[in-house]
Amino acid sequence: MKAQSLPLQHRLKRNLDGVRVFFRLLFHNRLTGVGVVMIGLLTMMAILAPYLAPYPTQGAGKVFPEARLLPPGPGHLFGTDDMGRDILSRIIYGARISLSVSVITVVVALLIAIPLGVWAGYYGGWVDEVLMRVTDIFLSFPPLLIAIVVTSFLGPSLQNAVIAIVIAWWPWYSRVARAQVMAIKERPFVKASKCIGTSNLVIMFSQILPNILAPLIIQASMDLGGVIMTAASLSFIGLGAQPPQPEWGLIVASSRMYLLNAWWYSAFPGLTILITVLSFNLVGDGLREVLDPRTKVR
Amino acid sequence: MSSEVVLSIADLQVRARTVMGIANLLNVARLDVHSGETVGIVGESGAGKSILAQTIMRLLPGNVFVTRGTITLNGRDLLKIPAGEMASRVRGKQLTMIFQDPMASLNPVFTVRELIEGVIRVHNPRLSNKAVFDRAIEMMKMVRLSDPEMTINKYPHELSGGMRQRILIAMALCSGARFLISDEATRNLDVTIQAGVLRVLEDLRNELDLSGIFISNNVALAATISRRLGILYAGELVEIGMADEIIRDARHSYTRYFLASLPSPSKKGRPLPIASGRNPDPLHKPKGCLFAQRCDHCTDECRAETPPLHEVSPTHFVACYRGGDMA
Amino acid sequence: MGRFVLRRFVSGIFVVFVVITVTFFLARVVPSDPALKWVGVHATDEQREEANRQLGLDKPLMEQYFRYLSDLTHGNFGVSILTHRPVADELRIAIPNTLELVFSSVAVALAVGLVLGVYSATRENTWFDHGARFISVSVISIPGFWLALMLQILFSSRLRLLPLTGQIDTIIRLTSPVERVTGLPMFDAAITANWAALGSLARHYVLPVLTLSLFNLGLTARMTRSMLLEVLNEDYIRASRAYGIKERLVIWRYAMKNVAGTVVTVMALSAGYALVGTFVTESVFGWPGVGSYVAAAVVSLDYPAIIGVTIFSSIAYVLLNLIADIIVALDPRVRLVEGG
Repeated sequence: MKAQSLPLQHRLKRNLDGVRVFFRLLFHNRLTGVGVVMIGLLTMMAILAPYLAPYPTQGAGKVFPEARLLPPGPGHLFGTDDMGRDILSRIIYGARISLSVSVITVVVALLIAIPLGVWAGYYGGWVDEVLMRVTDIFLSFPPLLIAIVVTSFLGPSLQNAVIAIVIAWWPWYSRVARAQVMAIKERPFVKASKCIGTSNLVIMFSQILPNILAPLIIQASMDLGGVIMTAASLSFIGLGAQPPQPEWGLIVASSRMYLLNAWWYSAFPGLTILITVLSFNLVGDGLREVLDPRTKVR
Repeated sequence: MSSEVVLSIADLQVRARTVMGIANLLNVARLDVHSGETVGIVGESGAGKSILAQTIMRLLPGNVFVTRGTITLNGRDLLKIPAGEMASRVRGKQLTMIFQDPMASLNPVFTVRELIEGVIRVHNPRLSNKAVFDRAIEMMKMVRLSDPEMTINKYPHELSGGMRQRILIAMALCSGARFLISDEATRNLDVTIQAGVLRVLEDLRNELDLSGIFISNNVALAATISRRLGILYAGELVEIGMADEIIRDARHSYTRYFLASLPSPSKKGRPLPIASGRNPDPLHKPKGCLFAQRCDHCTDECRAETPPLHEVSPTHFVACYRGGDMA
Repeated sequence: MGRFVLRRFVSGIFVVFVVITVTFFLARVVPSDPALKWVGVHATDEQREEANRQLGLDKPLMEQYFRYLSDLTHGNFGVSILTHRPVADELRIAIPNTLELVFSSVAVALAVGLVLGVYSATRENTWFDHGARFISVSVISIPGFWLALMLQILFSSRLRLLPLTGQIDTIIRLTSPVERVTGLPMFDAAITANWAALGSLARHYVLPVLTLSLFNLGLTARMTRSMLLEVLNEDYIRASRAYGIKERLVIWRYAMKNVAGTVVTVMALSAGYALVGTFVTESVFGWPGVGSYVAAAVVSLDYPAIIGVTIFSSIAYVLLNLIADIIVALDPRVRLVEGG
């Protein structure tokens, strides 16, 4: 049988159909849709913070002693904190911190992990051995623990928290990348390229990399929720964001002293973290369901 | 072999709920299996053979459901009895099945002994441990496993494909079932091992007077063990008859193509015939004869209505308007 | 099998060694003045130099390192800069408190999570399943530190049902103190029939255990459900049903054995997360365990204490991983691969 190549329109239509099926399957589960919407709202909140926040200037260090610890009510939907600042506004600005921190962390971790993982998976040898040992050590401990240890030594700040979380997260991505590379490099099309003399570097870039990116990016987007949680935990402990940054975990930390008198101070920022992480988890679950080979039609 | 009908399938229609819509999987007008007889069901991948087996066993996946029809085993409609009764009284005791992939069909974290004894105990809860063990060894001997005492303590992955398949057969039969469905039971085995397993199945059938259905995509294989052959195409039984009748004198266009496309030394030098077109999409099955698009002899009548079974001989039926007499 | 265990054991020791070395050098590299902290801000220069000498900080770095390693092997973890007491002693009291907490929460998480996961998987796509899945995914999205605070507000402050902080009522501690047998408070109270203390301890346990176990509960439920669903789709489960084995047996005797490896992994993971969680949970609830100990140490940069806890943690995690690896390796298929 002659190999038939489909005309361009057919190929495009097949790809579009694939995309359409993908989204159909993805939103088959309504919760995933809810998650996507929430993330969209969150992103908008972060981008449009100055316009959405009722008191846009209260992010920075000003103090309003006469408005201290007001319960939720008109003018202050979520109440005020111990410095008299509007909690809702601070939460809205906090979205900027959380989203940017999580995206930056994940991107940097991938940038570090992918070259290492690809090299180790492709060439093997001592690089592979070393990488396996190192990631083994890192992966024996929960990421939060590693982050705490790193920030204890680097000093508490948001930047150091990002560095710490990157250090905690990259080993996992390296392992995933390495495993993917090892699976792909045995495939016939890679071997064929080698046979015709394509250089290893070109193979890695043009053939292996595109094929491993998809699962990695999907894994990374599923991790965004976890990163936000870790960053908030670090800030709560005092090793991440520092006052007066409106990071959600930090706000909860500041609220501890007034826990019994001003429940709104701790309740709302924590609730925001919960909803944010939940949204990412819901989307992650939806993605996983779609990609699961079990959901094949026939 | 008597002419008493043990299993009778009538007007069976099975569908599946998929993300893309409702798919029509099976549409079997009539299928009877007589006592002591093996009926071979032959067809391509995707024709619905496994679904047929699973429907009879009532082990369908969650999104597959029966819309119409009856399956009568020993006088009772299997589709109507409650699920619990199906599990405790029918499966294992009257009806049983062996599967295609012996490695995948044996639970990897249990030894052979735990697996076989587990099945024996379920149907004979009052037997002593020794009696259960003895029966397990007895079953293993019955399927011609050499050195059962040693094999019984091994794990499935430590055994060869042929041995695993025999253990599956032992497990299937150890509870007394006399109707056996083999779903492509020898597909994953080497040819020589295949022959051994088939021999075991034949011997057991004769010794225990088993009736059954032998499913395969290999018509020659099915013909050696089956008395009658049924050809399944896109979920429909398009032809059924004695094995040699079908091989010698196939009347349905599809059966002819199917048989003609099998390589053999006599066809050397010539390209094998292939029917043009593709199998119908289960989501959008056309009216009328499902093979009409691809058949050289189809008429408008064929495209309009599903052809009923036409009698070629008292034992040979074909679902075709032309009666299959386009020689 | 033996070879496998040995290899993992050696690898574990290597990890602990690396951690010890890394933390030692990091502590020396970071700018801080332990001698100053030791004697306090108002000390004179001579007192500071004396402290320097006492702490051995005037010796060359490598000598300090080897001194340190030999100290460790003698069980001498140094002296806390904050409290001036040997770290080893303080840890000996703190560790059992944390162990009991972690153990209880893992047990709760496993028991509830497992059942939830199994019921969810066997009732796939029913309301129960959807509900359980939603609860599971929500529960793993709750920040532990926030949960602790909310539980305090709800149960201590509003409903006045449970104590706010602490491990035991002060009155009980004075009138009916727990006799120290193993160091594990509840266990000791039980075996010495100290019911008053046991009751008081139990009441104080509820909120911290709840906080620590909730996340793991969700995790366990999710992983159990997904693994069981995978197994239930396998041919060998279908085969079991074909032989007439009743559904209850199919799930609990046959399918669950295939899931056992996952369960063990989840337990190890849960214990690991719970241990990290104690950092915050113990601080919030005033629980006298390793978590609050190291939290205080981190704030005041008490390096001997921090390092002591780091070593303890790395040993704990290495042990956890080792146990999990061994149990998973008991899977007959893995034995074939390892050739042990």
